[in-house]
Amino acid sequence: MIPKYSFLKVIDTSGARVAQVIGFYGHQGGYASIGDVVKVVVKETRGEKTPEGSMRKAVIVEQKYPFHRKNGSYVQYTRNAAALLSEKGQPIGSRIKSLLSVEFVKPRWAKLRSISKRLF
Amino acid sequence: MRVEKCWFCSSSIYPGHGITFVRNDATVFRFCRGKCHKNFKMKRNPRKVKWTKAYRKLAGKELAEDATFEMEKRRNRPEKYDRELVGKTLKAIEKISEIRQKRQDRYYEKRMQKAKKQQLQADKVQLEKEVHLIKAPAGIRAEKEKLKEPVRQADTSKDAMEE
Repeated sequence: MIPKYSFLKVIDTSGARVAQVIGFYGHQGGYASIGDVVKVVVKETRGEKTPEGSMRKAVIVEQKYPFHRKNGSYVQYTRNAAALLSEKGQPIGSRIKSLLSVEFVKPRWAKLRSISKRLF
Repeated sequence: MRVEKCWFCSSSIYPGHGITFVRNDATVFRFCRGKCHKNFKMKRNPRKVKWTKAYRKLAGKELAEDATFEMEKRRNRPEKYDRELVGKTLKAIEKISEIRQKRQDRYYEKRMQKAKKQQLQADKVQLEKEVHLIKAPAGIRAEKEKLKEPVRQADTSKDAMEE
């Protein structure tokens, strides 16, 4: 449940550290959840790969608010985190430092899964 | 569908219950209910919290090591579906849980054997100390007689009034 202007920790190796959500893709306003693609502004970086102030797409990978799974369980993480994507929707980084959830089993996220460890 | 174990109290988590928490180092904690979740957030150690299975096993109050527990290990390799195997496994599960229950009961009985003796001794001590609270049977009878008298008197007075 991530609203506009909230800060997300960037957990891939794209160089960015903190990104701020400025818009949503796929639906208007309200909140974004795990697996949603959002438009972000990179607020803090380490290195030259993604300059500060640049706008990118990102996919939300972790969320503090418990999200509901169809088997009835609720899952929550300790932080709100995202992985940066290119304009086409492919991840920029080479590794993801997180335990991805089963929401990323879709073929759309095949590349994202390949750079992560395992799905939970 | 898998029935998980609660990280805090070790009870079974059925579908639709509890919260799963994923920590930043990718460890997954499953809780069966808010009580366990809240205790975890308070950073309590389940081995020190008396109502959890972890404490009871550590303190020797429950059967901790047994061959029947080894059979309930989590196996991550999915078996190819075989109807016979499934049938046999179901029967085995029933039998094993029966055996496990019997062994646990026996363990409990053994542990409680000393309790009978202790209870007897405690009763003796209590009897000697508090014998003044007990009334002798003759005294109880005398009290009953006393209670009956006013009732008889009231009856006679009633008869007198009716007349």
